[in-house]
Amino acid sequence: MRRCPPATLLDRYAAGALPGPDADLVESHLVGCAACADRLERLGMAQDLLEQLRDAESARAELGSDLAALSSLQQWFTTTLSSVAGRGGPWMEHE
Amino acid sequence: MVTTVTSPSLLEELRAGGNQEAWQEFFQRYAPMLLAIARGVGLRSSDVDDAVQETLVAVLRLFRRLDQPFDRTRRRFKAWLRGVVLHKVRDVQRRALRAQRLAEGMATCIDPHAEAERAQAVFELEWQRNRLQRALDEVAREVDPATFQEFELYALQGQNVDNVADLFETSRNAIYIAKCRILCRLKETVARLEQEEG
Ligand SMILES: [Zn+2]
Repeated sequence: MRRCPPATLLDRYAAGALPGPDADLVESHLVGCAACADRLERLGMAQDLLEQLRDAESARAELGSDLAALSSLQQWFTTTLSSVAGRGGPWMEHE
Repeated sequence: MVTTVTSPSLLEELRAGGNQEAWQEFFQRYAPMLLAIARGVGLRSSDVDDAVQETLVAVLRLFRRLDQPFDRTRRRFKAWLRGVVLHKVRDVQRRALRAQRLAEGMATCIDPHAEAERAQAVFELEWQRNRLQRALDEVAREVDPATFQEFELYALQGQNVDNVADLFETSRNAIYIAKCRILCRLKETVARLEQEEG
C-alpha cells in the first residue's frame, strides 16, 4: 500500500476489525509512514482498557511486594493437599 | 508459569475430584485474588491468612459436593466463589471484632449492610483485575518478548516513545504498531476469558 489508507480503514485496523490480509497491508504502510503511525496513535484506542491494565499492574506490584505471604500460603496449601491425598482414595472422602 | 489447563476444563477437572496439579493451577489462578480481597475489605494482616485459608478449605470441600457443572452462560462459578469468599471474610471479621471488644471492653459497631456492599465491590474489582492480569500474562507468552517490553514501557509505564524506540533500536512507528497489536490481542483474550470463566 503506497498511498495512505483512508481514515475508516485505519479505524478498523485500530479496532482489530480488519481481516488478516488487509491488516497486513495497512501495517506494512504504517511501518514506513510516520504521518499514519501518528494518526493511529492519536486515535487513542482502548483508553479504558489501558487504564484498567495500569491499575491491575500497579495492584499486582503492591501484592508482589508481599510475595512472602503468597509463598507461605502456597506451602500451606500444598501440605493441605498432600495430607488429604495421603488419606488415599477420592478427594475429601471424609469431612 | 505455563498454563496447561483452560478455564472450563480446569473447573470440570476439579469438580470430578481434581488432581494435585489442577488444584495448584487453581491456587495460582485465584489465591492472589483472594489475598487481595481479604486485604481490600480491610482485614488485619493477621486475619488475612485465616480468611484465605478458610476460603480455600471451603472450596476444596464444596467442589466435591457439586453434582453439576457450573452453568457458564449464567456466570455461576463467579457467583459461587464470591459467595464462599465473602462468607469466610465476614466470619473472620466478626471473630476479630468480638476479640477486640473483649480486649478493649468497648462496643464496636458496624453496619452489616454497608459492609456487605463494600465487600461485593471489592470482589468485583479484584475479579476484573485478576482477569486482566491473566489476559496480559497470556499475551506476554504469545508475542515476541521485545514487542511486549516495548508495550510495557511505552503503553503501561508511560515512557517517552522516542526513548523506547531508541532503547530497542526501532522506530516510533514500530512502537505504535506494537501497542495497537497487543491491545487488540488483549481485547480478544479478555473476551475469551470472560466467556470461559463461568
Ligand atoms: Zn500514510
